[in-house]
Amino acid sequence: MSRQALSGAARYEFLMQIRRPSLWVGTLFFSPILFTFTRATLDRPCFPTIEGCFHFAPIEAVAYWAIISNLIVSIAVGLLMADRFPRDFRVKMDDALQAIPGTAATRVFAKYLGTVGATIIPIFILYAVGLGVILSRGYGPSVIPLGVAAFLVINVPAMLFVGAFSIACTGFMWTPLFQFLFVGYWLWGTLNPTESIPTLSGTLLSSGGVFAFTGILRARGYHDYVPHPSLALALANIAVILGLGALALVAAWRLQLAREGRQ
Amino acid sequence: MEISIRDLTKTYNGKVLALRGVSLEIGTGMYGLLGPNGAGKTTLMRILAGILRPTGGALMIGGIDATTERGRTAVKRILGYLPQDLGVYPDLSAREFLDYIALLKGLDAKRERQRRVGDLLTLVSLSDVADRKLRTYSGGMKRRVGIAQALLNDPRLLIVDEPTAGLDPEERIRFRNLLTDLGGDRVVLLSTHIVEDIAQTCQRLAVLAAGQVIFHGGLGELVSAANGKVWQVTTNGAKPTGDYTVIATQPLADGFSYRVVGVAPPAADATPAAPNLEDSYVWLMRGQRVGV
Amino acid sequence: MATIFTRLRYELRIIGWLNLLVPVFAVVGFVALVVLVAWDDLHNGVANASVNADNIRYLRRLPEYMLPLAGSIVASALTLADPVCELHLTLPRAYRATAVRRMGVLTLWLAVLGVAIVEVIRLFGFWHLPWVFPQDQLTWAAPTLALVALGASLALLLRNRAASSAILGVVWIGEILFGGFLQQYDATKYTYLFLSSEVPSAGYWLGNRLALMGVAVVLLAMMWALLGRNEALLGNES
Repeated sequence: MSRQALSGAARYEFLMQIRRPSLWVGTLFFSPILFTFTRATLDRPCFPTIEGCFHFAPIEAVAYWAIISNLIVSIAVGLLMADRFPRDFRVKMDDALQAIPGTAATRVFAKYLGTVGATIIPIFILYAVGLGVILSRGYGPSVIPLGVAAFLVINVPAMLFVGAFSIACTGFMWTPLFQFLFVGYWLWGTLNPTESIPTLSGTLLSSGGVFAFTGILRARGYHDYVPHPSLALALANIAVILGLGALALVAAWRLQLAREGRQ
Repeated sequence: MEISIRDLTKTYNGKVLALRGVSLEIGTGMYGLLGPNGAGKTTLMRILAGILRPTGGALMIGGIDATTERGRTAVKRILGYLPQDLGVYPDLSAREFLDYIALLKGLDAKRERQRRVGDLLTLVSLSDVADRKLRTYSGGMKRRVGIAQALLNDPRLLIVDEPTAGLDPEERIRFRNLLTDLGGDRVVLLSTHIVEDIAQTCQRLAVLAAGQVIFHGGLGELVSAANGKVWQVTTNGAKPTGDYTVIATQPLADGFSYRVVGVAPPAADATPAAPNLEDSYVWLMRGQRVGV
Repeated sequence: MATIFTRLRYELRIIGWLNLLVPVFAVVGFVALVVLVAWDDLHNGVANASVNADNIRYLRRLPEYMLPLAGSIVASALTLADPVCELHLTLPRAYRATAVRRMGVLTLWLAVLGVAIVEVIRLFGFWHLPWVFPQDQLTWAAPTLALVALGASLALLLRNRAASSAILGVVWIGEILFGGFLQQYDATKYTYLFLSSEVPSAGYWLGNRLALMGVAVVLLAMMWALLGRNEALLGNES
């Protein structure tokens, strides 16, 4: 896999994804839902999973916005990226691409980098609009750098994680089934509070962002998920989910190689 | 049956002008529609098939006004259509697929439907594999299923869009013969950009370019349009330069023989050649590009 | 009559066993998770009346939570993935009628599963609603119809399965995450999808179920209109 080929293919995938009207229209469609929910809960800061009601400090306001947008938006990100490999097949590019020797790794990693890179852009714009709303509520300009930092430690790792699985799994799995399983996973493994059903929520395998929320941004709430938050745990959580994403991509690459070998 | 098309226009999204005042008269028999990709052939076919509404103009099919909703529905009852990209349900067998389409065409009587499906499977030589799932069929076999479904209601108007694309030579010949047989007592409209298909099947044709009819008439008329414009020249390798379109290049023992289309002979020793349909088509298209 | 049955049989074949299995996977996966948890509780010696009640509460969520999600994703995929669309548009029987009939067959399958789930849970004595058939079937029927109609309409509107699934996912997760908030306002409490599972005794339960059915009817009308846009139907998925 040459660097030049990878960057060229990633650029192509980026342009393919960023020019898709459905990416922008989809984001436009679900943003009012997100804003309605968030605004309502910001006005009445008694969100059931946050301990008690309190007035938000700037860091907490942005951390809260980052985590809410992550919990809702990451699911859209995962689903929006779930048709990249099936699309190659649909537009009859699959055979042509597989016929080029040595392209399995380039295909998988370039598709990942390009698609995630493009999908993050409308999501960041949506997130920035939310920061603007926070700014308009009397918070100082510090919410901008804080907001960017929150996006980087909460949203970006989650999007890299779900993007890797969306790209990898739909190369080999029937898309509607993946979509269903992915939504189910997100509910069970990220949103499900640790009541009676065993869940990934609150473990280092969770991509919900609660470790960064408490460990890095030092915001209050979510202590029922992470009883003893620390910076080390938060960094470990980010490393683990990025590692899992990388593993999924490597698996997809090996499976692509095996598929090419069979042809 | 007669099809009368008058000043037909079609605009997509208010911007893209796909048809610009197309007028044609089409009678019983095979009729060819030739043109490059993007000429508007598929749009015209889809309007004739009742899929798209024209933006303007008049369209009468067998005395039915096909620009109205009621007219389009009436046309669909006498129509057989084979789209360029015929999709099939891969988990149905050919017999089941035809049976399903027959139901959608209104053939409700089970026994009659089954008989018709059986007859058509025989006609397209698929009886032996009729119960195999369509996912196992080759491209050529799927095209044959396509023509069978188009004939289910014994249509008076048969529209086939690029029917031979992707077929091997044997399949292509078989398909052309089948279409010619069908053209005896109905209107068969064959749209293609493969000149040879038209040459072998149609006596009358229209050529479309950029949404306009640039020629309509008999095959002989089109061929004669390039009289005196086709040349054969042999050189020691250098391709003729100048205002010519090279139609064919044939390697010889001591050079190359070129068949070119142009106003004047490309070289002093060039000899005039009798035009065929392909030469004439290229000449016509060349005229479109350079405004000759 | 025989023709109608033959057509329905074909529609079932065209939907395909993979699509039909998605809601089955949902049901089996959900039940397996609850059984696993109950088994784990038993073996860890923590099973008591309260823990068991929790598990039963989870089990009751099955029809109302899982069928709408699975059904809507399949509806979205089915609406866009008809390889015979162009040909069908040239046939005397309207394509939109076939598309709606196909949705009907999918919904019928979801109904079979929904009734079976509720009745099996009832058989084990775990069902919580006092109402009787068919009213208590509105637990799954109302949200399922609403989301199936939403999935099909979004797919037709956006011409993209990924985008429509993304919105469906956001709606579904959002309804779960912000259920408490949605129940506080008149404007939203009537369209809260999971009322039977979360607040079965709510006074506006029937109103909520009827409102969801109303949403489904409006979305079906929208789907009907969108199915009449032949040019859009022939366009490639974006």
